[in-house]
Parts: sequence; C-alpha cells; structure tokens
Amino acid sequence: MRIQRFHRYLLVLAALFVLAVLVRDDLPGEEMLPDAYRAAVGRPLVQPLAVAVHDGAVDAAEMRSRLAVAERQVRELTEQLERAHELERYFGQLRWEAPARAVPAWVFSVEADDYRRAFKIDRGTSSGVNVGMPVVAGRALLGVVMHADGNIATVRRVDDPSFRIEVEIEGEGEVVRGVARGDGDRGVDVRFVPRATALRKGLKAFTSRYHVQIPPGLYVGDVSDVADVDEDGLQEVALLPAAALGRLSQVHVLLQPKRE
Amino acid sequence: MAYLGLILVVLADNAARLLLPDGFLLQTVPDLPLVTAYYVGFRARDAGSLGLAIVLGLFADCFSSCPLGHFGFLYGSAAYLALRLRRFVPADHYKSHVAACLVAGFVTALLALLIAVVTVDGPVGAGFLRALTGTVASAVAAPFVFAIWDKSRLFRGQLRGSSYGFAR
Repeated sequence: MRIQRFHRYLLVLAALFVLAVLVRDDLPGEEMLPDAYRAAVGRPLVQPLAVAVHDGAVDAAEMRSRLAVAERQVRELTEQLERAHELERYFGQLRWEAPARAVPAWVFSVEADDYRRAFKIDRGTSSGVNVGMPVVAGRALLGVVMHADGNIATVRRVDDPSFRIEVEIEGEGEVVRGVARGDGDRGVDVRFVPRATALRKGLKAFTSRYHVQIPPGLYVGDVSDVADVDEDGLQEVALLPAAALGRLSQVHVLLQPKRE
Repeated sequence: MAYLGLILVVLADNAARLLLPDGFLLQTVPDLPLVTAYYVGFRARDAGSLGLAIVLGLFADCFSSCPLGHFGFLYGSAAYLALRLRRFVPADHYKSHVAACLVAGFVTALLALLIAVVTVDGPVGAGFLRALTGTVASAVAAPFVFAIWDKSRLFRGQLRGSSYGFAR
C-alpha cells in the first residue's frame, strides 16, 4: 500500500512528538529559575529545619543550632521593623516640625441643608487657603476646607456625614487607630477600631500622623460611648467633638509650612 | 424690590442659623425661605409665578455647599405643591396655611432625602429627623410669615401670574 505524501508528513510529526516526549525534562531545574524567584521561595527561616527533618537526620544539636539561627533572624527583622516605624513616625511629624502658619478667619455663614454640616469663612485662595487644609479653634479640629474661592472658603465640619479622617485614641498603654466619620448631628463615630483594646469613656482622640495636609495631634474629641465588638472583630466608638461646633465665630486655617 | 426682599429673606435665615445654633422653636430655626416659597405657591395666580420661588432657591444656593440648583429645585417644588394644595383649603385661614406647609414640607423633606441618599456619602437619618422637625417649626411659623408678606405686599407684582416671577 502506497503511503501518500500527506501521511508521511503525519508520521514524521508523530515521530518528532515521541522523540520530544522521551527527551523532555519534567520540570525546569532550580538553576533555570531567575534569582528573584529563588530568593522569594527560598524561605531561609523555615527551610533549614525542614531539610533536617526531611533527610531523616534528626540531630537534636543541629536542630537547636538551626533554631537559634532562625530566632536570631526573627529578632533582627523585628528590630528593623521597629526602626522603620520610628522613621515613619519621625517623617510624619517632620512635615509639621516648622511652625505652621495660621490664618485667622471669621465664620459668616452656616449650612442650611439638613444633610450637610458645613460653614463658610471669609478667607480663600488669596490668603493661601486651599482645599484639604485643616480648620481649628485652638488645638481642636473643626473641619477641613472642601472648597476655596478667592475670598471665601467652605469648610466641611467633622460631624458632616461625608467627613473622613484617621484618628488615634490614646488608650491605657496603647494607641489604637480608627476612621472617624461625622454622624450628621454634632457627633463623630470612629469605625474600624481593632479589638482587644481597653477603650473607655473619656479617652481623647487625636489626628494621626498619616495625613499630608493635617498635622498629627490635633484634638478631635473625647470618647463618649464604646460599642460591643461585632462579628468582624472591630469596634465602633462615639466621640464628642472637641469644640462646640454650633457656636463658631473666629477660627484658624492651618497652612502647611513650606520646607526649604 | 421683590428680589431685594428675597435676598434679605436668605440673609435673615442665615443670620438666624448663625446666631441661634440651638434654635428657638423645637430646637431649630424655622426655614424662612421655605415658608416664603410656600407663600409664593399659595398666593400665585398660576404656575407662571413659581419662578420667584426658584430664584429664591438660587439665592439660597449661594450660601450653601450644595450644588447650584439644589435649593432652587426644592423651593420650586415646595411652591408648586402649595399651589396645588390650596384648592382644597380656604386661602385666608391660618389653619390652612399651617396644613399646607406641613404637607408640602413633608413631601419636600422626602425629596431632599432622596437627593441626600444619592449625594451624601454617610448616614442621613439625623438629617431627615432634622428636616422633619424643621418642617413642623416652619409650619408653626407660617401664619406669621404669611401675615407679614400679605401686609407688606412685597411680592404682589410678581404673583400676578404667567410672568415666571418677573413683574410686567
């Protein structure tokens, strides 16, 4: 029987396929992987112990030495992490180390809409006031500039339902963070507060250091109520704002100091 | 003169909110521009005069952080509701003024709630309660405001009808 040309091609292809299957390597060797991949999956803290057990050579002395190495590495990493946190705190406060310029302003209008808590001040971009700048009375945070024109700016109060800011509550020996949001009725709710923190009435909440335009340590309010832990393991805390938000006359806008 | 009156209404309302943050009636300040919008609807000859209420709302928008047209829409709606409601009540009795302001205020509060649900990123329950309280306070104050505007005849030229609030 004569084999047609097309069938010959098929036979050649099949032979090549069988040959490729016979000579193929199942998995790429470790030497074929890029260095970054090997570094990522190398797991230097776990691998020495695992290899010792896997080889059946369970030598107690060797295990102890490997464990000591692992513990030392953990200590070093922990110290590095603490130093990173210190640097983070330092740079967060460094932005506001120079004295901030405070622009005094008069409140001349309050919001008439029932669903918004805001007021207008008689300073605007001509005085350096811009969107996002904090407005304070003393050290108490009143709100943040939400809109600025030439000589008028609108300030969103801390009790506005759309207001959001990260705050730190100084508990007993620890500082917990949460996201503050206005409740629309002269109050502030702090959400996403982690569990296992001894929160109680009377503790003070301050702005955290993670804001670009708002300095850390501004007084936001006092804890007035602490809700139970929900199923997500988070708490909600109610704050009484630091200032009488309804009776505002003269306020200050904090301008971020320019760094040389 | 009427438009100067509208500006003064908005300024007076703003001053009252600024100076009396705790209010003086049901712990709130009666919404003077809203009652004026009810008055416009109640005294207008036809829907053509409701432009006066919309202009009043636009003045109020200038003092608000809401988008332009927010109060123009709400006050125009309130005036239109009052215009429709006056068919069912006697025009010159204070009880009808209170009742019309209550009904129209409640519907206006619902409209504002719908807008707030869309535009406000946060809880709106406290705002709605405040709106309802403000509606009752405004309704209580309505007969006095109606009497003042009737006596002053400030908006008489603008309420003749078919002129969209602009005097002919």
